[in-house]
Amino acid sequence: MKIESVDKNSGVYSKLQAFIEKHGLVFNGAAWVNNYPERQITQCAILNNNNDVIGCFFYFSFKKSVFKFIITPPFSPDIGLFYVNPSESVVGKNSFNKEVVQQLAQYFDDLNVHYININLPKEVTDTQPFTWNKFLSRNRYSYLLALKGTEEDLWNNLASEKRKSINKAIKDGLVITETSDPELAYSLIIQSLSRNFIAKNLSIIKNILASLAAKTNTFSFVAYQDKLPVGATFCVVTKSKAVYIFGGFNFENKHHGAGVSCMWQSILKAKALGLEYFDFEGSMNPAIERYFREFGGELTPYFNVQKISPFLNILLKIKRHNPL
Amino acid sequence: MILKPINIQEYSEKSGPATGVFGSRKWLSVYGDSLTIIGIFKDEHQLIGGFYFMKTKKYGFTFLKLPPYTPHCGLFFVSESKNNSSVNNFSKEVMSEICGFLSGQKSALLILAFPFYIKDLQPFIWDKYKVVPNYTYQVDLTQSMEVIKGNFDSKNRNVINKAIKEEVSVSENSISKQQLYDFFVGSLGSTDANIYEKELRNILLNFSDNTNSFSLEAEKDSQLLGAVFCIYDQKTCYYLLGGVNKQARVAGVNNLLVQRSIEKARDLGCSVFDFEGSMLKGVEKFFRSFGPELVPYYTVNKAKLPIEIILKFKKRELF
Repeated sequence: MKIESVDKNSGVYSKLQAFIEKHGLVFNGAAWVNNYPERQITQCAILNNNNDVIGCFFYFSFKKSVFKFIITPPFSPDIGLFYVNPSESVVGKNSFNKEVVQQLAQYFDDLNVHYININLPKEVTDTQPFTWNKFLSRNRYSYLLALKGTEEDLWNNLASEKRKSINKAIKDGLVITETSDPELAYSLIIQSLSRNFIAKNLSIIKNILASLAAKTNTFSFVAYQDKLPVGATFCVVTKSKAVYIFGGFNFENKHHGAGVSCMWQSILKAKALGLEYFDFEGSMNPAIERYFREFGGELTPYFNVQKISPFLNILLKIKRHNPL
Repeated sequence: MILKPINIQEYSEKSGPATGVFGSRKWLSVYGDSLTIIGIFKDEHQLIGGFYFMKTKKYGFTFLKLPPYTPHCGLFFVSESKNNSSVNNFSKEVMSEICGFLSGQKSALLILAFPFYIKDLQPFIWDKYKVVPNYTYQVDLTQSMEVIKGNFDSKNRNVINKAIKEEVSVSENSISKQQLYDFFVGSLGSTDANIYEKELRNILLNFSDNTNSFSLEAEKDSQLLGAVFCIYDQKTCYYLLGGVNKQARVAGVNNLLVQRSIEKARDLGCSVFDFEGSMLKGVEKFFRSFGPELVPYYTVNKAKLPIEIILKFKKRELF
């Protein structure tokens, strides 16, 4: 088994694209990866001994001062690690998982950069090889809402405050509609991200939202009050779940129920699409966590692995600086 | 919510099956007064949960950690909420209280593991703790022994068969507790494993009886080749200690002992065989060969800045 970085001129490129297509991997797909500047995004293939593609992932690199950084691509839930485990026995499956993660840890180690900080998909629970390679493996959380119950079940699992907000929105005549207008969604989303000081990588956000026009693997809801857009949500659809990527509201004309109603409609849309889960995609900010928690999903851990050169680590600690 | 010290009796009566053998009065008595047990009260009188830890002093610093040979801090709590959102809220509230309580202990270094069923450690992350996954392996004993053995790595099966062919015999509780203690101190002493002699002696000589534990010994020509010691409750059997006589140079002894321990645990009516932590590379590979499921559990770590900076070099995987 080996890992190879793949660009458009690489011999493995077409095989990798076929693999991504076959397994319906939205975040590894060209439509998503092309949202990022080509020089900053790296796609990798995991190859077996016959040089067949058996897995893939991607990551984002940048430089700051003299330091090189590798991170999860902004606005992607994780590095999209996916692989086909050919083993049938329990012990074979466990050993294969271990081998893949060992290869991955070694691959990132061999890149010799000063800062690595990547999220692994929720399905990847074995981070031991990273630990053995002196990475720090940490818990992160998202809320996953199972959609298998009835709409009434979903409604009953909401916190009473959320139900009140939605009812108030209805009472106040808010209209929630699906939109395919990227500019409309962008204008609301960027306001919220700016308020939370996370409005970086604006061109990437614009590219991601542009996919709305094509109506493939994405949907967005906008809340209107008196014909004025006051809130929005944007989600990406994968094989089994809808992933909430970002949302926003109009700060000057805010309505308490706008964002909640858009989220509720997004959940119902995901259910109507026959998906199994609605993923709130990371809930680490305390205020945002509380907001998501009240939709009644299950707190689901996933893992983040990081390795920072000791000098940079102490520098970041002293400066209390988060480079992400 | 109020958090305050309680005694072993109060804790073990309430914790019941949630914490199993590690919440039992007899197990907690192993640690005597060095254990701090904290009750979680809904109001002044209603005990709804609890956990424990050990406080030690070294080089003038206070350290807060798990009792030796105990895999987690025994946290349990009872929630009356039914709506998903309320369950989440309650769990968050309890964990926030625990985090605040532990931070209030002002220890120089805190390392505490939680039971695998405790998933929500976000309040610790928000309070600048490092929340790190650790792993154990568990075998599902509700399957037939044939299926369980079928899940073993073929190399593991071969080496077990070889040991049987070489007439290695396994018997239960065939040596005295003192002999077992001496054997483990000797065999574990030849590895990198930490030995906590006082606690180990208490476990083997005071805690262990026929209702909560068993030992299996492997012999050939009256020579003791290896031993395992497992403890159990109604649901789970834990592989607590294992060691071999390396000088005897007989292959497959440990493998055979583990297989027999799994069989014994199944006969006792346990539904899970837990290898009780598998973080060392060599040990992990050995446990994995029995076809178990990898189960993460979470550890919270926090140190005062100068200690953290030292640990960033020495224990990068923790800090």
